[in-house]
Amino acid sequence: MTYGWMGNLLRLNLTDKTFKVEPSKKYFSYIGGKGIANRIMYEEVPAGTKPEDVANKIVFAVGPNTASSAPTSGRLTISTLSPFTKFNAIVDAHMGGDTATQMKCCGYDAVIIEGSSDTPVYIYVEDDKVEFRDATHLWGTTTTIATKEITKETENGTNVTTIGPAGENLCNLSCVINGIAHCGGAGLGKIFGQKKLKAIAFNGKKGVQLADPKRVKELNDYVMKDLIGSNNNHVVPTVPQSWSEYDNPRSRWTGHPGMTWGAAEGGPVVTGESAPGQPTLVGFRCQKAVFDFGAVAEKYTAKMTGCTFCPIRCYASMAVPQMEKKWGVPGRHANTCLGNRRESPLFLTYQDVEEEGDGKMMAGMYSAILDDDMGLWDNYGELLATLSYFMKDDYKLMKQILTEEEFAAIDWTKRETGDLTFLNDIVACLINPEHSLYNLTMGAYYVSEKYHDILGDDYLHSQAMALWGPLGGKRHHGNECAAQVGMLTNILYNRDGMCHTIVNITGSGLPYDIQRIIIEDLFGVGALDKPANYTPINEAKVKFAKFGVVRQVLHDSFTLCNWVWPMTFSPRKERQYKGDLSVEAQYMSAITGGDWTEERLDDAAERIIQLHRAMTILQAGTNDMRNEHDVISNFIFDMDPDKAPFTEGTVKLEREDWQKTLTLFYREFGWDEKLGCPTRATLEKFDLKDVADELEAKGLLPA
Amino acid sequence: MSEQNVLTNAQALYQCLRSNTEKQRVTGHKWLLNHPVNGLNKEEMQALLLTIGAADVPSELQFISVIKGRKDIWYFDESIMTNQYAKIAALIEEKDILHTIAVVARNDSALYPRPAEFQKFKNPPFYFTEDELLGAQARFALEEQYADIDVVQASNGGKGFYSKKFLSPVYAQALIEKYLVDDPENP
Amino acid sequence: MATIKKTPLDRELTRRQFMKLTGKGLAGVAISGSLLDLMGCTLAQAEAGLVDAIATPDFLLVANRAKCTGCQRCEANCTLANDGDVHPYMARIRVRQNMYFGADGPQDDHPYKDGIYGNWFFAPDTCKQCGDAPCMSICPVKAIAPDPVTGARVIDEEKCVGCGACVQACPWNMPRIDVETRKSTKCINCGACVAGCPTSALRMIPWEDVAAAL
Repeated sequence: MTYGWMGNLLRLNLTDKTFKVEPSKKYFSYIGGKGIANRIMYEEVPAGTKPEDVANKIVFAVGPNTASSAPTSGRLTISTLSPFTKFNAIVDAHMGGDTATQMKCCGYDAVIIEGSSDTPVYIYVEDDKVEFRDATHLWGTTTTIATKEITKETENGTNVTTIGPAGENLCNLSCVINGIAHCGGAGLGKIFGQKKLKAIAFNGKKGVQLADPKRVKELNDYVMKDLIGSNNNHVVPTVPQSWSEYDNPRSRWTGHPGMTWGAAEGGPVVTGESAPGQPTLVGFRCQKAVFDFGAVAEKYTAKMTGCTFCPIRCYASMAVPQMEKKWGVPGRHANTCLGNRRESPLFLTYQDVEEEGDGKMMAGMYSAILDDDMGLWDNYGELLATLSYFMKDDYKLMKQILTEEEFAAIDWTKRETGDLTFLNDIVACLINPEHSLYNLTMGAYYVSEKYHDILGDDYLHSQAMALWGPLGGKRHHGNECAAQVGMLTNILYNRDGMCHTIVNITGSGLPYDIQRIIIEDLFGVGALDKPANYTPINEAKVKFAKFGVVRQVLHDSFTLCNWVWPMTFSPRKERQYKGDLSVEAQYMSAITGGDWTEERLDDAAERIIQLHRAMTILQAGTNDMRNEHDVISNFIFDMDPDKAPFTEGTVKLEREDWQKTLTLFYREFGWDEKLGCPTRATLEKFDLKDVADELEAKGLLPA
Repeated sequence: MSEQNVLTNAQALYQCLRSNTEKQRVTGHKWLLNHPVNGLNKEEMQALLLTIGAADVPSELQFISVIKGRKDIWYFDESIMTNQYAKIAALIEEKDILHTIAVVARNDSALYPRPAEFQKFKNPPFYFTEDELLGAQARFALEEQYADIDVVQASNGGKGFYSKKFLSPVYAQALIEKYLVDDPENP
Repeated sequence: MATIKKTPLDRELTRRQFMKLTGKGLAGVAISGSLLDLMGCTLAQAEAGLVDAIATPDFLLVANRAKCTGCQRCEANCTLANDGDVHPYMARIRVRQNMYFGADGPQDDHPYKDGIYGNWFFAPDTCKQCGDAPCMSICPVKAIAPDPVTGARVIDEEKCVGCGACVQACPWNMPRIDVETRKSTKCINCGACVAGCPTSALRMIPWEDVAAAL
């Protein structure tokens, strides 16, 4: 019997509508999730393939920890080639909801989608039963309607992952959606659309076998009682509470006495105090509606929801009946973070209905409902930033890229009056391939390429766009998060980095000195700077950054939610707030029956980073990562013009220091220090000789 | 209830202090003298209270801790309330808004470090109004003992109190912008 | 608080008293504040019929729709405790089937119906340990019987022939036939789901405590 892994992968061929079940064991050394998905992409999609080619594939993958019952074990990684960033290299989407669990319970560690269909189809998987079904009647429908119809055609409780019209119309910024609002981004919607795949539905009836279920249960209890905090593992509550020594208004531990889910069925549910050590109250800690929308959202919160097996309920599930009266849409949706904002900041005013601020909240929800129904992906705010950029200075750029008729047909005054139907008008154009606005969904890199004559280099490098670099990925906890440390966690990827290991620490809510003592103990003196007051690079910071991405990749592979893990800190004062970084390895041993240490598991995760780096180099056709890939935006050096780097109150980086930072980071990974590419010795150390051979054959190993 | 008669004085006092602590409140020395437990007189109550923190403290009262405020002495059960929270609870009981804001702003500036946002004082357990906070802001400038307290404002209008003893104005300004604007924009 | 250990007879008396009081549900019943506290719900929630209070022989099982967030940890904990694996389909408490579109499945007016594609309201289905349990009475080999200690209706695997009659007879189809063992399996009141519910939407209240609060 295989413990943890299901032992099989499912290969789905859309061209001839066939499927094959194959053993997955040869991929176990890549852990799962991102590791398996990246390796399959490496083996099966030749470098140089374009995202739109039939040869491109989509790989869904889970890991040994997925659906193990470990807190936050409901995550899925989906890999494909990026349609929206420079080089079209490997990207991963990280999707929550219920898909990971259902897919795994169908019996598969990975699902490979290959080929391309001539006509719209969806795939229904119920354990060993796999059906390619006609989706002609679903083509053009919203993600909600497609889900509803597929559920009717299958079984209640089936999990449907589907694209909307944005994906069908091949927008680069398009996604897949499951469970009304759980999004897999990375331009996946377009790749589905290209393959005429409307949806994939999983209805799993198998179980996940665990080597030591008793130990898994003990670990669950340990995490729930002693380690876990709230979303982003914030371990301090927003307001002073009697059990807590500290408070932080920016914490996501928003539950407290008097705070409610105000629109709960039958009247408000009080979140109350949920002090550490009480597993049956953990789910009340994150009142995310109030965090995202402000106090006005409390009374419209029906409950909090989220991903399968996750006790940290971060999806603000809202019921705003006024939206129906005012704007004609049932005011019911859920999301979290930027998902609750989308393109709503385009409005210059908001129309309040009952009280100050409810108009802004409704605008955020309205935009989220629209985007999620259309399967339009906001790319961590990039779509909003691009639209804002083109609308600034009285629509100067917008007038240059739209035809006169197109510009005149849009009622731009709705922005000024807060008329939310403006979003319908804009989104209809954004997802219409015949409309010039469609070009703004190509992703910033391609927008810049297409309109370089009017944009110059300013757009890609501007603070308004806040990209981590001209490659086109959004900065996601970069220099504003532990300065060089956060920035380093951005540059490895071919999209926004989505590394939360570091921000979970800096945002934990604990006083700086408590954070510093724990982090210095792990990585050395000088590892953690004060907020907005940082120092030149040192080796401790580089080690800290490496830990950040290694754990992120581990979580994306294992799978666990990196928006909560690792458990660097604990909410317990008895532990001096020290968490436990060995828990992942303890789970790995208990689940698989292997003998895993923290170091061994980190090594397995680092191997995936080495592979990912090599795949990026192969796809880019250059090994000069320093100058071709890892280049960061100019604004990161040029912000705060009246302040100098390394002075109080700025996180602007310094150019020379950054180059030194890269050198130290490359050294830490065993890469060529000038180019930032893996050496043969490093690849062979991680048992990636075949990858080294291919790089060498293509002249991409360092001299 | 008849059961109460069998409680020792120390047990009765503990029950009273524990019950208030559970309600997230500290209990004042003055109030206790006026509301003695177990039918004690004021002097007996005073004697009982004096045992708290002393070497011969009755075992029932070993978890009771004391905060010396400006206006009173405050008792709480440290097994269910932290010293940090008790200090805040005592400030709230003493109802001196300037002193409360100054203590919290100094603490936050030195410890985290960060300015103490206006919003923090509107939230529980403070529940101050915007008008009260604006009034406090104006009055701080007039009192020598609060010369270190100042206000910074972020670009979205949000404000925070900070202590110049612990944060430079430039740093305080950068931190309020970070916490009220930059971090929410990059969640 | 020291409580005197009650006998099974006391428990049964309280259970009957409670059932007499609540009849077919909590709606419209005057419930004491202390019992509401124990159940973790408000009077409004109880009166609106949102709180499923199931009088099992051993304890009062409360499932509060208002607090269920659909995390499915109850399903995982059920099989983790009883079978040593994680097998949501086989769990004896199940929320997924109600989570997306409510128990009735997708309707055209789904935004106004139960589920996350609707009004957000849903809760797990649980075994009611019925007094006159249809699963028990229909079993052709008399494999289901009350446990002498807990009173839960328990399946004797030795006797079970996996015919599935119990599944069909149960108004909520709560028993499941294990695909591997071909035996039926159902809730035994072990409490693993309750102990692991992160929002206390599930509670088990001993009859002793109910008696004190009634």
